[in-house]
Amino acid sequence: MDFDPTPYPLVDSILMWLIVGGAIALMVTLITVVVAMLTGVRGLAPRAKRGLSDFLLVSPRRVWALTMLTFRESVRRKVLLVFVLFAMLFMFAGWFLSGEVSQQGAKIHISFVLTAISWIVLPVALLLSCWGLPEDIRLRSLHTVVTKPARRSEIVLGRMFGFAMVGSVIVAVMSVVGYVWMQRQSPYLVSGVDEFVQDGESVKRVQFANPLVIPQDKLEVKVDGKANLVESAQDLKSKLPDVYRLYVDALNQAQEDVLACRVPVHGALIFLDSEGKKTSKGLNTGDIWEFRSYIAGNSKQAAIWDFDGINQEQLGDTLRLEARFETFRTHKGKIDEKLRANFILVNPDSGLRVPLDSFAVNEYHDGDNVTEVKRKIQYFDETTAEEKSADLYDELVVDGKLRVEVRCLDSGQFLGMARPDLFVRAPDRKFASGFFKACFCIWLSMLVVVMLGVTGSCFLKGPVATLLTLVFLILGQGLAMNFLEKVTGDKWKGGGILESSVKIVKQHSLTAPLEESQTTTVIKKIDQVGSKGLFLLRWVLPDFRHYSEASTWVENGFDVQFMSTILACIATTLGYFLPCFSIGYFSLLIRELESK
Amino acid sequence: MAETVIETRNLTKIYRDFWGRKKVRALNSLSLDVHKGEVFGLLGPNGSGKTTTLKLLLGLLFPSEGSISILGRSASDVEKNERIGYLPEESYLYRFLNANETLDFYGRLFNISAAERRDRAEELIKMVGLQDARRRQLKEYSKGMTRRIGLAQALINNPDLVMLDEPTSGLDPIGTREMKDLILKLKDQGKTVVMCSHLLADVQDVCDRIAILYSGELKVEGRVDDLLKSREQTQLLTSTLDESALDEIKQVLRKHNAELLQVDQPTTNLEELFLRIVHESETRPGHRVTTPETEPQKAVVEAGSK
Repeated sequence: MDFDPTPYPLVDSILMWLIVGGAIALMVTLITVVVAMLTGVRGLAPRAKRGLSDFLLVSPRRVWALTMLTFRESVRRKVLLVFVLFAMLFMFAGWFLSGEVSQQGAKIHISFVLTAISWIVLPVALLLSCWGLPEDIRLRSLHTVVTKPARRSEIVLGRMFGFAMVGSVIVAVMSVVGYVWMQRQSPYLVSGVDEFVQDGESVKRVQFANPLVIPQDKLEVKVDGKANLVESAQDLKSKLPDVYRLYVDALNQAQEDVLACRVPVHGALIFLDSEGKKTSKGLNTGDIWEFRSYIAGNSKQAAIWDFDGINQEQLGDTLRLEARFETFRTHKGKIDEKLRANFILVNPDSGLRVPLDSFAVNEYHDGDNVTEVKRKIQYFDETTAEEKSADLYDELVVDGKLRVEVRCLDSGQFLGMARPDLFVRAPDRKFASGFFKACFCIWLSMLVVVMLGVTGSCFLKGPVATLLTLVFLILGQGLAMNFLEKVTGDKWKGGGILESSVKIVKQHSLTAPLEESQTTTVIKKIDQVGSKGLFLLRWVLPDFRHYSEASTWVENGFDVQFMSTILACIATTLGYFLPCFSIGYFSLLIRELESK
Repeated sequence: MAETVIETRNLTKIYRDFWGRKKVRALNSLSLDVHKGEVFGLLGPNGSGKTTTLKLLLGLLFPSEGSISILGRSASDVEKNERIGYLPEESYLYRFLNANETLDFYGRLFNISAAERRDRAEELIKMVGLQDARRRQLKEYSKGMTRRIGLAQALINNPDLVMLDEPTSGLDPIGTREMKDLILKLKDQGKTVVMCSHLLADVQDVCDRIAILYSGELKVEGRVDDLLKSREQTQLLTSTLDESALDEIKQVLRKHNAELLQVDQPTTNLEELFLRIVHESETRPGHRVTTPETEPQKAVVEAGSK
């Protein structure tokens, strides 16, 4: 994942939804008319009219009755026993997960909890939704419902809402339990607690053992250099009450550091090339993944971020710049020393440049590369060779805009970066905020599975509906979606499916075009149609990447942003509601429930 | 002429296989009329098309040919169900619900208010005698009990048209009698009842009109009395006669050019006998029940014209 939170293109998505939905609706209508003409079905128009009126006249009370029936059915069939499975996982997970005491360790804990919720709720939702209606039809319980004034549309909605309610209960309970479990189980690491406490009239220097692993049975506390070993936190509280308060603060801080919820403010990135001219990309050091561009050390090359929305009310007096750069060394240099870089804060209007102290680039250490910029900045102005001071908000930020220039200081070395690699870190939110947002996204993905399952079960038997929904679920994941995007995009070399197959059979170069002939024209035409089909398939499949993205943000200590992730999840889920409901309703309407 | 509640014209149902090939012609060109306020019976052996007809009327199956009008609407019209109650052949109710929840659920489907649902459920549970089992899940019910709750759900909306598929199936004689009494009660309330059964005695007891189907075709339709009446014979029911009296009767018959065909003691049917025994056992516990031999006899005289 590139951690580049680009805003979700809602308008484009709605347009695509209309195009794909319209195309499918048109195709289905045409096929229906042709089949009706061939089989001699009469009165298609009145039937369609009645079908549409039933579709629109939905009674909320009946839907609620069917929803509650579905919920009660699931509960009485002991679906909620999944909690036992969940509890078992959590009882024994500690054995395997608690070994590593680091931020990485916490990441594993968060990942475990979110994955457990997702992997339990999605299969349950899948099985319930795919088997509910077919079982109802097989046992003929549905006969007693459809012979009442319940419309087929109400049955579809009732089933969807009922299973969604079951899934909601599962997600809600599991997320709360998971959250509490993480709070208690995640290993915290307190490094370098070194404080002074007032003890009566004297001031004592207190040091906890470093690193302090919490929870632990015994604590080593140095007070003015004298080591004290206390048996437990309670023991500490009774023996050294002042130090205990420090200990509790350290605990809370440690927990916040590990279970972080960073809120990044991202900017726009451009580069300066070796002549100091603006360019959209930096150097390519040969990395196949072209996500990051590089700047050479000790040269005119630089990366420039333009941030917007920098204000004191939101960010406070101290501005925190967090970086996650990658290094590329062309020579060993000093192997035990890290590459150095520095930030230059620039007023975008006046061009006032304030260089900050250089810093060592910590690769692969999330959260360690934070530069705190105080409001009053003392700096050395190279042009006038004078020590000066500047006010961050009064002299550098203009209408919330701030420019930050990054330079690599080591000659012959390169620093790689992409847009999300530097951000202004707004005050962290509570971990619960990000965690429950990720759970919300899992809940939304469960809704999609329920909708797909119920829709499939309206015209298929239980096992086939399960298989179909599973295919949707698998193809909607990253690997398949990326492949489909590549196949249907312009980047695919070697032609379409048929053309590339011909090339393989003929041992023809994949990149060279086929010889012009009538056969080639036919092949290309077929490929064009196939490509359109794949395009349609790509847009019909739910993009589950959005949902898993939310979990990835939280696992990596970020908040889940609304515009980039949550909106995408909500839009995707809502986008499936109407098509699933329509297909489910019409499938059930034209289906003989008693067919032999 | 009473209002027509159900009207089918050339109703045909052909079951097809996956490829659309004809598999079974379950119903062939059935034209029927059921009038308001009558009890109509669909008779026939297994596989004759009774249940298919009922399911076509309810919209559970779609006709291959022909038309259906039910309560003035098409069979596929959902709104017709507001006035229909249906008891399926087997108990297809939700087995995880109890009696209260079952009636409440079906009541909700009719958008009946909570208070009315409660009152109606109370009344129906009492009517079908399930007061003691109202909180047990249906999966714990016996077959007879599930038929009873099935009937209660069919009546939750106080329907104008009640469709009963094998209503007495699985019921003991008392339950059968109660069911038949209930059907007659529904008729008295002005409701139309359509029932299909292969238990001919039940149909004979309650139906005004019947239709007999065989292999999906209508063979006979008409009033039960008319269909069963034998116009060539006359039956007299008298108190017990001695031999001389019988001889005199024979002479009278000969004079009128008629012949005495059968002289017999009338018999009751097993259902009547069973119900009487149960009733006497309840009212006089510990006493042996009197048998028909000890009762005063009547004679049945059947005569036919030469």
